[in-house]
Amino acid sequence: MTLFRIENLRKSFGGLEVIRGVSLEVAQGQRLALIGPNGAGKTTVFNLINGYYRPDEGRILLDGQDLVPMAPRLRIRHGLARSFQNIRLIPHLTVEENVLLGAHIHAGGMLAQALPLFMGRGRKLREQARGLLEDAGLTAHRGALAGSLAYGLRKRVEVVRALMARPRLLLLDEPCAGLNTQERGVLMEELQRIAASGVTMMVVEHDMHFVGGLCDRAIVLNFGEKIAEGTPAEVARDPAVIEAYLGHEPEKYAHA
Amino acid sequence: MVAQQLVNGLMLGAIYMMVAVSFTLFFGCLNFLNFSVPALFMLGGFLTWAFVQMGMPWVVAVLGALAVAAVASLIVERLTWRIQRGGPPLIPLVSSLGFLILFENLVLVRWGSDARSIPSPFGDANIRIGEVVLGVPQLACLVVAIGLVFGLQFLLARSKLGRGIRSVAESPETATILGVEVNKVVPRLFLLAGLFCALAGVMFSLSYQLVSPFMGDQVALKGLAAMVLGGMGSVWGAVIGGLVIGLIEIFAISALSADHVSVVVYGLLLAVLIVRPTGLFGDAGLGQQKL
Amino acid sequence: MSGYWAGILVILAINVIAAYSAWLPLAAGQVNLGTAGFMAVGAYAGAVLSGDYEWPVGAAIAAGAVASGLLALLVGSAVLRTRGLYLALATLAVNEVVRGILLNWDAVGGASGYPVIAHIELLPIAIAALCVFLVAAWLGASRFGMTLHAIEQDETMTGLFGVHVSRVQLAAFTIGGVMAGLAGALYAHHFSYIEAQYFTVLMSVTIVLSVVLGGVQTVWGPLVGAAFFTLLPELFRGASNWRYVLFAAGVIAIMALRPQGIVTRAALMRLRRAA
Repeated sequence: MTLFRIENLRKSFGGLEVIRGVSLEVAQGQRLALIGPNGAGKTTVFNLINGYYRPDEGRILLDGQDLVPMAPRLRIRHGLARSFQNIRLIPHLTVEENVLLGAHIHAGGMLAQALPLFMGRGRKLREQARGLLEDAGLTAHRGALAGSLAYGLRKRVEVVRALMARPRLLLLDEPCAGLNTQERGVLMEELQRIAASGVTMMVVEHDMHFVGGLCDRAIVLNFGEKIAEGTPAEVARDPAVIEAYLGHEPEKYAHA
Repeated sequence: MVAQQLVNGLMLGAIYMMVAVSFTLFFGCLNFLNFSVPALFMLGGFLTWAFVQMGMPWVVAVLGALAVAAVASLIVERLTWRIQRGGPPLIPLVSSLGFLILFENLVLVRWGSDARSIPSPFGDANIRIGEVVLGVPQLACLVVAIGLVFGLQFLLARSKLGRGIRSVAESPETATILGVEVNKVVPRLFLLAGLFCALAGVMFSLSYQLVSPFMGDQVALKGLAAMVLGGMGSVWGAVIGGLVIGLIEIFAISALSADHVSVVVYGLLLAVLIVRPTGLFGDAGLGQQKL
Repeated sequence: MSGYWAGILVILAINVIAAYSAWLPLAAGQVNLGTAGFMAVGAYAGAVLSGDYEWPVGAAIAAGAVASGLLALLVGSAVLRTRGLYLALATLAVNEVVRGILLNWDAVGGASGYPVIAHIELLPIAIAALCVFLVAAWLGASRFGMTLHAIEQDETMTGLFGVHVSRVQLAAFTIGGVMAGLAGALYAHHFSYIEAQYFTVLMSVTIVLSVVLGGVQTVWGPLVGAAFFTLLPELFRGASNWRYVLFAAGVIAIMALRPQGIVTRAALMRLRRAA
């Protein structure tokens, strides 16, 4: 069953067409990787899905509902959550508080929000946040200020924050960037665990090893166009993809 | 009568125009709402009086006042923009408010809070054209102010410094990559914009012959209104805005009373901010958070 | 307690309330440079109601706070659509418009000011300041408070998590307006005389500066800032002219070295661990 579908998405900035008619589908429970060389438009696609930018053309359907006319802040209510390429936690709030921000749509109206975090509905959300932090092995850092944490830990906190929204589609923008091999391993295990619980994911990532371990399908973008689609292993062998990354002439590959 | 008011409005507007240009240079190029501008204005005007009191000749007093204001503006650069750029724009704004209070009160501590009258070096010279009386100092200010704005435009458009300033306005990071020495260009911008408003202070004190440590507050607030009306970041907008605010003030005084001026001018400022925050010639992107 | 100290405590309490009124919007990244204007609205509304209309003092003061809050709601909903530095300019304009109207309004004495007959002493003012602090601490510990800090740091990201950014900012601005009105009404009923000239933009500026000096990250910052600003001249007695010079130099130094202000969240956590 298709959970998420993009139809013929187009976006130009100042006359330069950055996204040129991209279409894709993500089935329920699938993990789709969006890969491609720098400047291919991967993050722009995320920003269009998110509502950072408004597409010039095309539809973005989550569970049959078109997100394009919807205000960015309402999209999370339809099950869309994301992590950011450059970490965007609030440095002078604690890890737990940052994670709680992710559950904003479950926090009730203005009056419920004016209650201290340990009362009423906030109490239940706090227990939930602690549970997710524990699952992620981050309990020890719960009370620390987000700004004081190591880079790798902050990346994982961002994922937990996005999960607090109980999303149907989780967008991960370069979850591995800046992590060392060991940190990548920890993150991979964690994402596999989350995936096993049934969360559908779209991942922008450069590390093909990571993509191969997490995702069951990959779409390759180059200059704002889809140039290949298949399993991670298939697209990695695709001549068009290799050319896009290495910039070789197609003829040379024909002989290779 | 109307002709006389038109002339008076334009002459007052010339002062607001200079202040508005100063604000708009800081804002348009550095996204910095620099509240030390009223203090630099005051330093120009007040120190001219103070130096004349000390027995200096007029020219020396004016140059001395401008020099102090220029140094003050460079100090502001060092302690605000230089170390706070790239962060939230509210931080340099708050620091510059600190400088406003610092400079005003330093002058107050030394010379007291009273308004002082400053004699005019031009005497009572004025020119009559039919019914209209033109004060020589005011007229000189209007001419000098307009000449300076043209000079500034020429500088921004043609000189190496102008190119540097424009590239910093695009993005300090890109400017650095392009080989612009940001830490040389920006102090010169502070010097330029600081001198613009300090000179406005000198003109104000020579035209209206009254100085006080807080003389900059009301004038600079109107300069801010002029900048917003014209469109933040636009030099020609500041020119038009300044002249319009000058005219509105003079006509409001005669139609209502001097006490009603602030209601009219700041009511207009508020209305512009609500209805058309980009002003007449402004850039819609400035001052808004970037994505 | 001597009259001298009672006098200082009254000013401290009023400054503390004014500081929290500026803190709420500041915590969400909005500078209100019109706090003194909102105080003036509270002062005049309260004074007219307790004087001309013979309302009980408590009700008149509360009504003054509400009047200022309504003005904040009105101004905020009109101007908050435009964010960032524009709000600083708009509130500044509000301050001057309010002052201009009061100066020309003969029914409230115009430029000669308005005498306030009803009088309150230190105790009710101190209780009001304590209540304002408790409200601020309560809100600071709530999701609302958390959201304010998130907006200040990263408005776009916060919006993507479903926060209605402009509504939260409007709420902070309006509650701040109520507090400013309360500070003004208390001031009017203690000093028995108000004049529009007193509520200048410069006063709004010093309120904002004292909050920023104290730090906007925690609920303690405004308290520290207001205390610093109020008590500084007492520490340098005989040099009261230097008060603003020292204060301004302090603000510049703090903003240069530690733009988060004196009290930060991290510093509080270190203190708590050490204790």
